[in-house]
Formats: sequence, structure tokens, C-alpha cells
Amino acid sequence: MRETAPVLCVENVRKHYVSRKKHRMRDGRVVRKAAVKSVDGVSLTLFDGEILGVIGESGCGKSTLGRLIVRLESPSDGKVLYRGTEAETLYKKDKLAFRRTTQMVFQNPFETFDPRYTIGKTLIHTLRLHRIGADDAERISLISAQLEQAGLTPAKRMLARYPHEMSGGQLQRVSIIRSLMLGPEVIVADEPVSMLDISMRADIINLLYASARRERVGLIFISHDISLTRYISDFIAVMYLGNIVEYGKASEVVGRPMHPYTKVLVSNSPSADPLETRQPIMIIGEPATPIDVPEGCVFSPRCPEAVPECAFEKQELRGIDHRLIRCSRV
Amino acid sequence: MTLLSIRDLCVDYLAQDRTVRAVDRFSLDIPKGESFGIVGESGSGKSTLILALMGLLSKRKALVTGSALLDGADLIAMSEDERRAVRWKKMSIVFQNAMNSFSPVHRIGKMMQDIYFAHCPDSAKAERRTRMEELLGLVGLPPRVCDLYPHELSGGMMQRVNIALSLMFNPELLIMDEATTALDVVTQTQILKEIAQLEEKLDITRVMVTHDISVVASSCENVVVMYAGRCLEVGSVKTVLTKPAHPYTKGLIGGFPAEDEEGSDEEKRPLTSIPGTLPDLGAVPAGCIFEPRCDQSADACKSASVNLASLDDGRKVRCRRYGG
Repeated sequence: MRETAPVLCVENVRKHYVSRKKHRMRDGRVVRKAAVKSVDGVSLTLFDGEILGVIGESGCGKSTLGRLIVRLESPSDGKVLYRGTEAETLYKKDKLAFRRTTQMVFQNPFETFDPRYTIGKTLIHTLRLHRIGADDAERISLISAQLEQAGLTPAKRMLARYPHEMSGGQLQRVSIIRSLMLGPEVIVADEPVSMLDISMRADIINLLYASARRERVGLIFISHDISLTRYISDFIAVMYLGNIVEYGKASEVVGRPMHPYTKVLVSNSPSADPLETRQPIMIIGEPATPIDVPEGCVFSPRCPEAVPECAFEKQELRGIDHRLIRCSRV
Repeated sequence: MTLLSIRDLCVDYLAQDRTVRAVDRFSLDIPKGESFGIVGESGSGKSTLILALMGLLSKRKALVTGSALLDGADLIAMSEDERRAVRWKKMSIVFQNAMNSFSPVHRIGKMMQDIYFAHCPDSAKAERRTRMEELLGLVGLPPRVCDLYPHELSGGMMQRVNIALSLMFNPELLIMDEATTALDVVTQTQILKEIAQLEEKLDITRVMVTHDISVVASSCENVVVMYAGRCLEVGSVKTVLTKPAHPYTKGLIGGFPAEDEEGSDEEKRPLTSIPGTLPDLGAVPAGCIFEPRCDQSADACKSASVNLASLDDGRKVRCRRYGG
């Protein structure tokens, strides 16, 4: 799969926000202005038709990373490259063309549609904006074909509906179709199924999976659901406090986690199989805020395998056994 | 010994021009010491059922019929005064949104002591304070939490405070309504594990209401599958979730990837979903409630109503194909 050049390269990207609230740091100091290091030096590559899962707890920076990739946020430092050209340059040159290259699917589909527009109007508007299709009749037939392919039948009735008349699962499928119709090279799906009932989830997952495989779209699947991410992804990146702590093939990262944090995360994710006997690793505390990150290894204060040196040694990603791990003790 | 025995519980919401039956003839026996998970999608009536049991539904808006015997006392027929004696002491509940369960302008300790004071007006101040710290200790929080405000705690800590609160008068029945849903996976599992330990120590029977099958699979002994206000399948977690009988349960489990699957494309079993949406509960069909979405429906399913039928392995299923 990886013989060609990557479609997306993220090089050492950082995003620091400024918080102007009072914060008490770990050493007792109270500061009025603090840097929130949401994403703190992330690098990754994505090839055509590849699915990369990003997992981690809330606050680990996975959503910010997604927003940086589609340039809803601009990075404080580092580069996002599409086929070798910086996203910033592409975006400044032609915003619409850039949006056609990369699309995002959000968590709550009810917030991504205008409640006063019918589905048909929203979709036609999108195509018209991007000058796809000669006239509205052609656009409607394009849209109908896509809707029916995704199981939204009859397309004619779907087009006449308003967002509130659809179920969350149907609307999320429409929002994925809306992205796919622009022929993107990269789609970032940020928790696309966490709002939906289990009986609807499969349709979304199958549609995303098919689009990556059939249309060769590079997909970044951001989720906190580990078993689902493992199911859909080729590769998985595990994030903790703005850093990737482990990266590798999906089945290997989840099947044989090596980084202590991945071990904790995997062992604590509940399984739908009642016969599963995995024992969750107990851990103290909850994720620190990205405001006052530890000096050495960011996971060291909670790490069950930490030794005193971990608090001072800055950890780098190292390649071991076809994967990348940010821990010197592995 | 049966702790809670629910018989033919119905809840009708009274809308302006019609009634909507959110829970329909629900019956369940919960033996002492056995944990139950109630799973269902949004709109399946699982929360309504719990609110009816707790007596938290407004009489003007909802009509509750049937009976629910907790240690012989009927929760549905009780007067408000009698119910007050049962709440917290015999049964308590933990809700989903931990932050919203507390006043943002009072310290945690103050609010906890208020509740204690309301139920034990004769207690001394020092006694109340000791009991609070003892409770916080149970859920792994330091005593200083008493002097903090809700916004100073994380979501996981807040939910721990809520659990401590629910354990204040050693209830026999602990109901958790999506109590861990808003938490991160790691925090969720840690709290569930702590609860399991407390359950044994304090002899509590737990009922978990959730939409997440994996939470039930990993933390409960029995499972009730609810759909459109009805119980479709009930039995031990090990039988129901490994060999589901009802087509709806099968459909739900089909939405989960199997654990041991390897990543290659050919082997991947496509996830399955259930077509269609929940029926309108104001106008339910005559036959099986799940028939319009069922992939194994026959003509007989459309007309005859189905009842729960017991199977040899101890579970009960509401499906015509199993004799219901």
C-alpha cells in the first residue's frame, strides 16, 4: 500500500493556546496566564486509502490534531503538508480547492446542517459552491445516486426532508456523503459515531471504511472507542497530553500494547464479550491538564511502571519492532 | 430472596391530545445481591422505568400503574411521605450528569451534610463531619474534598462524590442511571471496579441503566434488553450476550466488532446495523413491537402479541419463534 508518496504529512506540529484564567501549578505557584499545550509536537504520515485511528482520553489533543489537519486551526509551530505542499499555502491560494482536498466529519450531525434547509438544498448548495455539476438537475441526480448507494432510499424523499426529520444515523451518513461528493483526498472523522445508538453505528463505520477502500480516501478516525478504532483502522496512534506515545499497526498496538499508557488504556476498555477475562490495570489519578505538563515523561506521574528518572528524562519516539514508542523503559 | 419485584409496570406520558406508553407491562424480579444491567437505545424507556421506581415522575404528566415491591412495600402505591423514608435509606440513585447534581455555590461537605441532616435531624455536627469523611474515604477521595466546590473537582471525582452520597444510609438497592457514561474509559472502568468491591463489602444490589452493552458485559451478572418500553430478553450476561436469542439483541451485538479479529481486509466481518427506527409509542402496532425492523419476521408476527417465554437456559425472550 505504501509504494507511493504520502498524501498527508504532519511534521512536528504544535498548538498552544493561551489561558487567561488563574491556575495553580503543581509547585504551588499561581499564574494568571498559562500556555495550554493541546498538541505538542506530533508527526505522522497518511497514505492514500489508509485508515489511521487516533485514540486517547478526553483532553489528550486528538480533536485539536484533527482540526489542525483540516486547518480549522493554524498550528503554532510545525507543518501540515498535503502532497508536499504546506496546508497554509494551499489554503491561502484557494480556500475552496483546499476544502475539496480535505474534509471533516463532526461528532454531532444535527449541528452541521442548517435546520431550515432541506437535505436536498444543503447538498445542492455545497455542490454549487464548488462548481460540481452543470446545473441543479445534474446535481440532484449525482446526489441521489450517492444517497441510494449509502442505503438512504428512496433518495427523492430523503432530499425533501429537514434535518430534524432524520435519525442521527441517517443524518451522519448524509454528512459523510456531503464530504465524499467533493472528492477529498483526506477525511478527518472526529468521533463520528459516539453520539449514535449502537443499531446505527455499523452503517457509518461501513460507509467510512468503504470510502477509504474504494475511493482511496485517506481517513483519520478519531475516537475514544478502542475496539471500534481497532476494527476500522490500519494503523493506530495513541495520544496522551498532546503527544503520540505509541504508533503502529492497529492489531498490534491493541493486541500487544507496549507503552505503559497503551497497556492501561487497552486493559481498561470494556469489552462486549462477557467471557473476556482481561484484568484492568489500576491507575492513580486522572489525566493532568495540558496546562502544567510534567517536565520529563508526560505520563510518569500516573505510570504504573515509572522509576524516579522518568520524571526528568524527556522521552522521544523510538522505533521498536515496526512501531514507534515514547518510553525509554520498553 | 427477591429484593425488588416489578409486576406489570406501565408508564403513560400524558401529552396534550394523546398518551404515549413509554413503559409497557414491565415485569422483573431482582434477587438480593445480583447485579442487573438494563440496556436499550435512546427512547427505549429505560430511564422512565427508573424514574417511575424512584417516584420522580410528575403525577400530572405521567400515569404509573402496576406494582414494584421493594422488601414487600409497594413503591408505586406509596405516599410521598412513605417514599421519603425509602429514598436514600433503602434505595438510592446516581445520575449521569455529576456536575449538575450539586449546587455550584456550596461546598461539597455542606451539601452532603444537609442531606444527612434532613434524614437524621438529631445528629451532632461532629458526627456528620466524620460520616462525610468516612464516605469519601470509601470511594477513594481525601477528606479535604469536603471543603471544595464542585468546579474544583474533575468529572470522575464528582461522580465518586455522587456515589459516596448514594451510599450514605447503606441502601440495599443502588440504581445507576448512565452514571459512568460521561466519563473517560479509564476512569469509568476504575470506578466500576471500585463499585464492585463496595457492593460486596456493603451488601448492595446494583441496577445499572446504560446504552453501552460493553459496560454491562464487564460489570453485571444479568442483563435486561429493553426496546420501545418492553423487555425483549432477560437472562444472565453470559448466556444473553454470547448467544443472543432475540433478533434485536442479535442486531445490537452485530454492531460490535469481535475482539479477536485480525486486521486483514478479507477476514473482517462487516458490522451490521438494524434498519429502521423506533416505532411511534403513541400508536404501536398490534403484533410484535420489533416486527417492522426484524429480519426474521413472518405474517404471524404482525397480528398476534407476544409474551415473554422462558427458555431452558434460564433466560426469557419475547419472540414468537421461541414460543412467546
